[in-house]
Amino acid sequence: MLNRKRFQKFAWFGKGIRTGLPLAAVALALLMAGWADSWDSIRRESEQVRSIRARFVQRKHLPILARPFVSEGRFYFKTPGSVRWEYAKPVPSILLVHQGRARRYVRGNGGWVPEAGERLQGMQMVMEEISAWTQGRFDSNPRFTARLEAGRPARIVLVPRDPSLKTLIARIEITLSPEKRGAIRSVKIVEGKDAWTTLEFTRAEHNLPLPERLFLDPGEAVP
Amino acid sequence: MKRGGPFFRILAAVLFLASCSGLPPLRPVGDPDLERTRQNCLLPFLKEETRLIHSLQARLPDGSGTSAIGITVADPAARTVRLTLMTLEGFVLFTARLDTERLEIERAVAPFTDEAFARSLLGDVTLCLFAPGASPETAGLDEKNRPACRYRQGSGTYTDVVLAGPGQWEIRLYREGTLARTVHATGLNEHGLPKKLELAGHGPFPYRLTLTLLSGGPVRLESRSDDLTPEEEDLP
Repeated sequence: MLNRKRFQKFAWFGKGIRTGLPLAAVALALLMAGWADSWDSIRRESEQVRSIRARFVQRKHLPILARPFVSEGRFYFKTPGSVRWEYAKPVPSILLVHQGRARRYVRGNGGWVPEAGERLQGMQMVMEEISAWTQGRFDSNPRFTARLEAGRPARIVLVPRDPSLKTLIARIEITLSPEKRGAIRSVKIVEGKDAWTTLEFTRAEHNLPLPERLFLDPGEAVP
Repeated sequence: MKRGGPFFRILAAVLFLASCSGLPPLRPVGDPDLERTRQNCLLPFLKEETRLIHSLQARLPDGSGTSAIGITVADPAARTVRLTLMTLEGFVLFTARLDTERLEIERAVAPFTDEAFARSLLGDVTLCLFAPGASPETAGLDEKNRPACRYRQGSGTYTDVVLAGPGQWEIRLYREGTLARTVHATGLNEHGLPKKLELAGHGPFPYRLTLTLLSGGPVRLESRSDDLTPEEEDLP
């Protein structure tokens, strides 16, 4: 009783919490939920993303490995299709895609050493696919069927239509960030029963001004 | 028989010399040095089933370069090699198993789909990892006065292992008296595995492979990923 009197003056606060919390939750739900509920809303939100800077951790699982092979690096993207895919460890290397051309560099004793271009066609296709995903175009590639699994987090599952492609990639699972609109949280590329790669993106920042040289020059200081 | 003995020994020596006529001569050394040389010649090779992860840089006959990650599980006692090559981005290019001479390609994209190419690649891995024999046919000093062992592996095939300096070995493969491959092995990690292997393929299509050890050790000392926390997963 004493306590009730004593804390009466704070009752508005409790009442405020009781009424305010659900309101805030609804507001937050309205704000956050739904961005990944349909292809249209995903595309709408993703189209707002003009550039991305993020870190990633890649874990490769294979039957021949006792434990996953882990690589780390940074990912930069700028519309319409510029990508800088940079591994810091274990093997420092950079894949640059700009104006439809892919180039890979590996750190040598004297700096960045370019690799043979004709062997990068496959990687260029992959990077073009990642560029399409960052723009919300998950269902645009006719070689894959795309299924959206709504929820928190929402997930997109891509399955190759071509049986010959299925022998290389069984499916791709893309998990969208429930916290950050237009952002991808992780990608899982399943090659087979015991072989898959996961990419987890962290510290994603959107719409930063990224200089064009970042996608042309491996030695360009990264922001 | 007794009278014929020296004749046959001389004939055998002549035939032996003829068969390795293209090989650089090895000068004999004293017995104590010989035993030490024989032991040191085996140092850069695997002693038991081992898992290795290398970064691999290839310099191809057209002068272009390309990189990959190589994962190998090799057992010198069983003479088996399992090899997976993947791009730096983690796309598997090639997975195969060599069981003595039997090659099984599990997964391959061109040019690894070609069996001769795949066999040659696994042959290079075998040259780098497996001792050419339990004991050399001869040991001595090479043309640069370095201790060396010579192993015979079938008709016309010889492998020299040269102690090229502290923590350095040179492995030379000769076929029909012609130098076919050279491997420079440098430094050993805590499990006695070379930290760097530089292989040169000689002949009409010369190439170079540089393998830098990212991680490696005996399979018996490993724990599977099921037992690991995420922090322990980090490699290398």
